[in-house]
Amino acid sequence: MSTRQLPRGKIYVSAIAAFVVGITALVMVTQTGPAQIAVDGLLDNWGPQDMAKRTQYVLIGTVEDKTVSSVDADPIRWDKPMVYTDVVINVEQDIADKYKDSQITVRTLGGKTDKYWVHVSVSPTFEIGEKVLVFVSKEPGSEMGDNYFVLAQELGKYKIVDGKAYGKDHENGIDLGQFVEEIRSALPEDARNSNPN
Amino acid sequence: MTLKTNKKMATTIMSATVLLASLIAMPSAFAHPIYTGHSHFWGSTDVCYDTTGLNALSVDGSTGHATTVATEITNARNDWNNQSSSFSFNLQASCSHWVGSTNLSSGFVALTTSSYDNFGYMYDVDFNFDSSSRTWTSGTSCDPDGEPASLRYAATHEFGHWLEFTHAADGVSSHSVMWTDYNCNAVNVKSADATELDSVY
Repeated sequence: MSTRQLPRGKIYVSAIAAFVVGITALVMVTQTGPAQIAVDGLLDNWGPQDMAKRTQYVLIGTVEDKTVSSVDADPIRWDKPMVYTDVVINVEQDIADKYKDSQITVRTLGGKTDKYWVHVSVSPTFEIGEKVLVFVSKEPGSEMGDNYFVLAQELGKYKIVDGKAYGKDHENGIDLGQFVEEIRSALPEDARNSNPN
Repeated sequence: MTLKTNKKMATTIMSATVLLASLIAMPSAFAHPIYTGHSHFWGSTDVCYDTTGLNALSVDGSTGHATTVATEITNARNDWNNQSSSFSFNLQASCSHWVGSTNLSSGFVALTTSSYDNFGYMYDVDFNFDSSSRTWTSGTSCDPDGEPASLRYAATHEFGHWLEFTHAADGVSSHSVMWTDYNCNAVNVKSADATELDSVY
């Protein structure tokens, strides 16, 4: 066995230096990146019929684009900086027969910028190219500002695949034609009358 | 100093580093069997809150009932505080964490926002009741449609978010107050919530 001698002082200095460098590196790795905010809440227990009674539009369309918007630091709406993701949808049909434009931009809560990363567990998620059915409203005095939003968060978005709609209330899918009829029958009377089909 | 001594010292330093790294990484190491989503934690088991803007809520048909709302917040807080865990929420003037009200028209009955650092520790949490056209009620009654909505239930759920519990996974609605949407079977702290609280704090 070797009995090579090393100065005790050098050992201590080296050990302390290694420890400090290691901890500094660890802190730098964990403390860099955007500030993180979580948003969670209790949602209304709304099914499609409930949403049909409350919504402005029930749109069927295809997701064209989505972008993370600028940070909203308005203290009236939010006590913390809020990041939104704007989703552009090419509109094919409004079941309520009120929305006339070919596109709509829907604002959803959450997203990531250089400074902030906002996680929202109940926010609806969209993929570009995805065909969707969404309950859409606008309430300028609300937390979403003067922007369209998906009513009831994730409950108000359905993905359409092969003629079936999939959502929180219909995880195994429902025939789109049947679903549209169910929604239409629950719309307020003026909307039903404007679109008898 | 011998090579044997050097090895001993190296082992000690490595052990200390591993122990420190484990302590730092601890928040993300907990498993949450019935909860979904992220998991973050308080560095303390005594968390304060203050209240603001409660008069704006329409309670039992009219506004201006801040005292009633504050009582329901206290009842909700006590539901968590009375569990076996040492964790407690306490009302404290000028606390940076607060309970208030704001216009939530996109389908939220109430909403919690929480900031946390990159170690996973929370440092700023607030929640708001919806003050749009929603009506609220006090006491233990629960309307299945949430019209009026229960102040106590909503506050209990939001305090669960303050503990950074996210929403209960599908199929456990009657076993947790953290069910995603309004559910009269889940209006107070359940045994699974208490077990979870106890396991974290």
